[in-house]
Amino acid sequence: MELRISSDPRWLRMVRAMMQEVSRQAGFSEVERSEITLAVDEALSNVIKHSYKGNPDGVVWLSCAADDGCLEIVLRDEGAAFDPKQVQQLPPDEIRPGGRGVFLMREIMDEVQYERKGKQNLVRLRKYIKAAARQGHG
Amino acid sequence: MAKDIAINIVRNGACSVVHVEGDIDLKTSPELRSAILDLYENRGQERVILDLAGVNYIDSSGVASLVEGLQEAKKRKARFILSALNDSPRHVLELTRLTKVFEITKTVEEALAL
Repeated sequence: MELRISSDPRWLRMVRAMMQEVSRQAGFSEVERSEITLAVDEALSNVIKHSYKGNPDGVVWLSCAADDGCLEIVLRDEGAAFDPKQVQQLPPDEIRPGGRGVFLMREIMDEVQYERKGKQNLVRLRKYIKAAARQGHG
Repeated sequence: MAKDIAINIVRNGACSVVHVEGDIDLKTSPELRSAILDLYENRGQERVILDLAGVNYIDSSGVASLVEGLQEAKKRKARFILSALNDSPRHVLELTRLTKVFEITKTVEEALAL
């Protein structure tokens, strides 16, 4: 499944609803579905804030594929090169306002990878379905 | 177009209850942040209670707004209390390890009685 949207925050809610359904169909538990939805929301928010610097007219491609016990979500954009190391990442117990988005993505997902391919930023999120959940699904 | 978030503030002397309804995300968190900070900075409130019964989603930008509210309260030796948290926002606070940082009550009534 692939979706093409503009980098407008108004699409966040729709993407969250979509991720709830995609992760449900992939066989994740209710808590995992909420977590995956949050991780994707954070990734998309980062594209809007950092790659497109708040410009709502950029293009974002979001694709999801569930295969062999793994849900993979890929976001691509053509904004400024995004370096996750440049984004403030707080130590978990530090009480300051920002910097928790990338932390949450890494906390929730099994794999988070960033790449710059030509003019595009690519972030790949992977979550594996636990063996017990797979046996009980379908 | 439907409003993404509804913020209704009930002030009683130096105490305000902020009733929030909707998702708190990148789009809506600036409005919430402004509303909270305004109560401390311009209206001299000593206790702000955030009623989150109508909130089923919060992201890191929403968490940042709550942390800013807490910081502003501490700076002024005021209180900032989160009430009636649903499971999903509570889980996000747990993931960000902030549940012990905030004063949290089950109900608004409980926060008013503190």
